[in-house]
Amino acid sequence: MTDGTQAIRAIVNGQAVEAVVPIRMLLVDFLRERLQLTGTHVGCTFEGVCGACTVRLDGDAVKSCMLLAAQIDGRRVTTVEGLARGEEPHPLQKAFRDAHALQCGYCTPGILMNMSEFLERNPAPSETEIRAALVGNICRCTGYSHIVEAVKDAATNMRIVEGRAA
Amino acid sequence: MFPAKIDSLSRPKTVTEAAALMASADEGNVLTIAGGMSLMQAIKARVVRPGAIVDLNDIGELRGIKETASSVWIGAMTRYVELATSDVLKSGAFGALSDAASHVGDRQVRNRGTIGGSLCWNYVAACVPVATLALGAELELMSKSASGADETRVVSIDDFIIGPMETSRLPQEILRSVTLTGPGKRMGSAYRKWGHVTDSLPVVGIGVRVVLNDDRTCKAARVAIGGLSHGSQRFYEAERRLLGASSNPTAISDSFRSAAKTLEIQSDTLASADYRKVLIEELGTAVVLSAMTRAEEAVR
Repeated sequence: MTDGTQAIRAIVNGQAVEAVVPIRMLLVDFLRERLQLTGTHVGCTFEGVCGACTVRLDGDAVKSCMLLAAQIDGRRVTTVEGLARGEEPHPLQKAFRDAHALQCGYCTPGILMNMSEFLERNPAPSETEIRAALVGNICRCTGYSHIVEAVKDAATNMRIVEGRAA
Repeated sequence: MFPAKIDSLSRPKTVTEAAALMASADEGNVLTIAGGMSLMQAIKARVVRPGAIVDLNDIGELRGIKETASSVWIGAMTRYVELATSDVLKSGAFGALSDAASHVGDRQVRNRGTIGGSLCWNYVAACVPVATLALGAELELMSKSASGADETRVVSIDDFIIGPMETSRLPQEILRSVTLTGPGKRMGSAYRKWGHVTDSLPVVGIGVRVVLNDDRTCKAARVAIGGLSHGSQRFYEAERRLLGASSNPTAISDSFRSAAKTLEIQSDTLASADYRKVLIEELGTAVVLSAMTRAEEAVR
């Protein structure tokens, strides 16, 4: 098509999605406005530095404001709404609640999506590694200490669940 | 919606298909997109308004790192995370590229951004062009001729990088690969940068590749610097002064201080010229010592 729109078919949070979108539509706008998945937030809106819009694209943590919705055709996207297993929150979500790792909560979905991939790749990270991994997510409440604690706790809890704890 | 209207988005599966799309489009109206970490910012700000976009993300043949006896082939769509975690690039001769890729932006950027995208965008203060200049890479570009035949040309990174945001890539050409020669005997490389926040764009970034003599003195050096107003560039005077040098921090530091006099160093909102000179000296020394250590470890 060359009329500025494109048909897309993708899997979003495990569900098949079909839509015709303007090619210029950003993925974050598609998720929020078309699919009503408003857990994916818009912070910096343009530079791609705040990380609030982070989602998983075929497993990789990416910023959804830096992609066109048309680019997810044929791909799998997971947003924060798809992180929990039914009623059971993800270990990161539990740890964020328990460690008071959110104040206003605006940055939280992006951090959860980034850290969920990070912990899959690095199940036993050091504090330095966690801090380095959080570079792409800005928290304006500046509650980073509790966020780091929560990621640490989640890593520990996930290892216990999987029987990998020392 | 921030971007201006985009009429079409193509997602070719092969380089030949992509090149054909570029050849058939109106010049100036079509852009290729790689990771999009820079281009999407420009599209959202309407600095560029492409009518057509050719998305290279589905082209499998553009991805991967392959090692041969005397070189390493890197597909242009290989992402930073793959460069940063590659055992082939981790140390020794190619460490500069691994160093650079490991600290570009943040995890999300490294999951998406590519070596080819960074080289073709050639931002004034980018890490990968500097590291690639230090490594003396060869770049393979592909396009379709008017008759539809595949045309390939190979250019050295020195001829590819022209100035800030300018390369010798023609609008219809697609960067296919980056080939690094080596590892050679006693060859080591490294890259370091300094920016205002962790892993940010560099105020100054320096890449070095050295080859050492048997007595561990410097036999050959390639030095590149980024963050200055001329963009990523070779630092020839530093190269000249490093010849014969040993791993003496004071002497290397003196060399960079003297060599910096040959550079045009600007003052801007990020740093004063004097501050940049200190960075050049400090980073230059650290990066040469790191490259020399890696060269000694890679005796073969």
